[in-house]
Amino acid sequence: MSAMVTETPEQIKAALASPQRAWRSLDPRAVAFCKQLSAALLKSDAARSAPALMALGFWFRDGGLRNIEPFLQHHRGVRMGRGLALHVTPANVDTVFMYSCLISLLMGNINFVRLSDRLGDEGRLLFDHYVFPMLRRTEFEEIATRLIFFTCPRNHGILAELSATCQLRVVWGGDETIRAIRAIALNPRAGEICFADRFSFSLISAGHVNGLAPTDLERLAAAFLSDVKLFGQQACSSPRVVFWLGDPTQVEAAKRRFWHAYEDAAGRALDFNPAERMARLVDLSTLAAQGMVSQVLGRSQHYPYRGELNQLDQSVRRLHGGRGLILEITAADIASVAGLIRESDQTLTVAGIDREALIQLIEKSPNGGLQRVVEIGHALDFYPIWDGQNLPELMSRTVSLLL
Amino acid sequence: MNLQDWLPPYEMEAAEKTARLVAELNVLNRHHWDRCRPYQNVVKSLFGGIHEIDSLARMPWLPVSLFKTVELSSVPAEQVVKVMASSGTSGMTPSRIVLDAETATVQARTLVSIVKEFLPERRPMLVIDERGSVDGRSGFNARAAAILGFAKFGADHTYLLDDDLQPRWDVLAGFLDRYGDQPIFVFGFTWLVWERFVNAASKAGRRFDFPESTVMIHGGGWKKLQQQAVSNELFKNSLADQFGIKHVYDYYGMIEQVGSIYMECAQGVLHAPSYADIIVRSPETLDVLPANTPGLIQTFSVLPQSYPGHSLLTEDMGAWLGEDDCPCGRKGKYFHVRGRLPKAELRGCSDVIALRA
Repeated sequence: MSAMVTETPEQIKAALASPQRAWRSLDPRAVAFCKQLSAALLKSDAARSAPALMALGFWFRDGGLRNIEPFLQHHRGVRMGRGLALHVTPANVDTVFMYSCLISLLMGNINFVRLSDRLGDEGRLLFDHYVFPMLRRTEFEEIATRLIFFTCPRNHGILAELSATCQLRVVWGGDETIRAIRAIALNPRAGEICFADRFSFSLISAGHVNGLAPTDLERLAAAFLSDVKLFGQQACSSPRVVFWLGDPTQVEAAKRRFWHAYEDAAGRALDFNPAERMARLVDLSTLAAQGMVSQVLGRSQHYPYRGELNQLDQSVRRLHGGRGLILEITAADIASVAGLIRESDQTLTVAGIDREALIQLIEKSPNGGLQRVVEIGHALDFYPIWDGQNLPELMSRTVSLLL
Repeated sequence: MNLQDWLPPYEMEAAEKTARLVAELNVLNRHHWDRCRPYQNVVKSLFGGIHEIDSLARMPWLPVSLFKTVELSSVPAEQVVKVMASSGTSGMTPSRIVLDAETATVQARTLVSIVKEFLPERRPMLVIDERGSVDGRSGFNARAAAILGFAKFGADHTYLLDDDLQPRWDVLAGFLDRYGDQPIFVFGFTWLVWERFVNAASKAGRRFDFPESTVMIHGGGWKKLQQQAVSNELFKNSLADQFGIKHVYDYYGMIEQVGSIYMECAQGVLHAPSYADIIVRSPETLDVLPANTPGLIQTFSVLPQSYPGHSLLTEDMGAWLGEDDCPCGRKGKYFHVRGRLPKAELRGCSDVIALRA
């Protein structure tokens, strides 16, 4: 990591001594930075081979305005950044936390971003080749004082100092990290946004799949595959279990059609490397050995990738390691789907389910369960309301001006 | 299984061996199906239930890592006499293998039957390890199991390394003073032999002359050495140059199938004994591969009674090279091992995933 941009805890301390002022939300200087970062990503060959970076670039192509503005309702007042924001980022999702960092920058905050020292390839590419070099340019001198990256051990005193002074703390999970960070006292007036461990699904209507024309079926299968492939199916929003809605005969037929199309789209290696496929095989065998999965399938038994679930309890959620592993369960109606949702569940990608049924499902889901319903193919698309939390709103404040 | 029926280990020809192995493995498949619920569950869901199998290729298998995630036992708890754990690098869950008295005994006996072919008599034994690894201080792991297994072929077991795995050259000098004119047996884990014996001696500028007839057996895998680009050839040449040790035999084995090890012959290839075998599968499709084509090694052994370890899909890569016609004269399949599947990289939102794996 380029030492020139990653600050030491001592430098952070110095920065805290004379803090920058929050900006008004959507300040043109912040928008310009996001726009240029986006342009750099979109025209780069290196980023082109990293779909997650392309998506990031695309999202901020106008600096993020188009995506964010609709979420800032006009109150009678002035929308400002909250002030100092501490971001604690995860080790493995290299790029998703960048959305929340940039939104926080756009909302007017001064951001201290603790990076993991275990960044993956895409994260290294993003920071070493785009973010850090841009922050070194004189044109973004001001931004460089409001988007400050640092690394430190999880128990370092600087995290306590930042927590005590900041106006906003953003913590990307897992649950263990959130527990550890929550133990650090937070400024009583600060807001906190946490992204805990989550599990996600697909809900597919069997009747819908059975009625699809071949080309539409292909499109659906390819969209599902792209959701599975991103982040090795290990992101919180990656679909890991498919709920089939319909009667058993319909569902049988739909599965045959759908997985045939899926395997065609994937090719026989399912786009995961042998080590990943072996890890998937071990997960499937573990689930089978413990009686949670009854039938394991995949074309000609070659590297099986999907299993019929007997039950969907928390241990299934814990044992599912992604990497192309699909578990399936049949549900007769929306009420039984709702019965399978737990508090930890996040995204539902759907095909062939109407809006009314989905509203029913949302109403019947347990407290805290289900944050997001999108069409298949959009599981990882970022949205300003992420994990049920309205980021532009939570990352800013409105100073009432009632004159 | 009656060991006598399978001896000597390197004389059974392919046709007879395959027929007998398939028959015995069918018995084991049924045995574990009846006694080990998790095994039955896997065979049901991955292989569509229990069937009479007519070839090694169609025999159900377990991925070897399943011993890390699930407790697999085919005996009541009160019959378990020993639980072995893989050494396991830090942060990894070790495999756990449960042994009853019968399986433990038959494993020890088969090991004797194999090693006897390379080491006909008991010899003064130099162990390239520390004594603590076998006295239980570091748990009963793969290294301890191997040392104790091979210790039967030695007398006056002398441990070269101290508690910090540093060589004690004075101990070696004393050992050679005592036995320098008779056949000696040297045993150690491959990476310890390389780092703490070969490399340590050249760094310290030490040379020792072992008797001409000295036999070294080593095993445990080449992972660490491959990272340093140390080939088997360099390994052997160094032992010959620095110590005069010219009879060096690697073996391939795993804690999940103790006893039925695959010894390297003078031709430098690994040999399957009569009561064990391997096939190779494509890492892309899991299809069975012909000779000379590298892939994932699947190992069979007729020994495991107390746990379902008779047919395992390993994460080791290798190729089989021939059967019954090795110039060394031993019958059975011969092969080489060339590395392992890398560990799958972790992505995703959660630190917890990283902690779990």
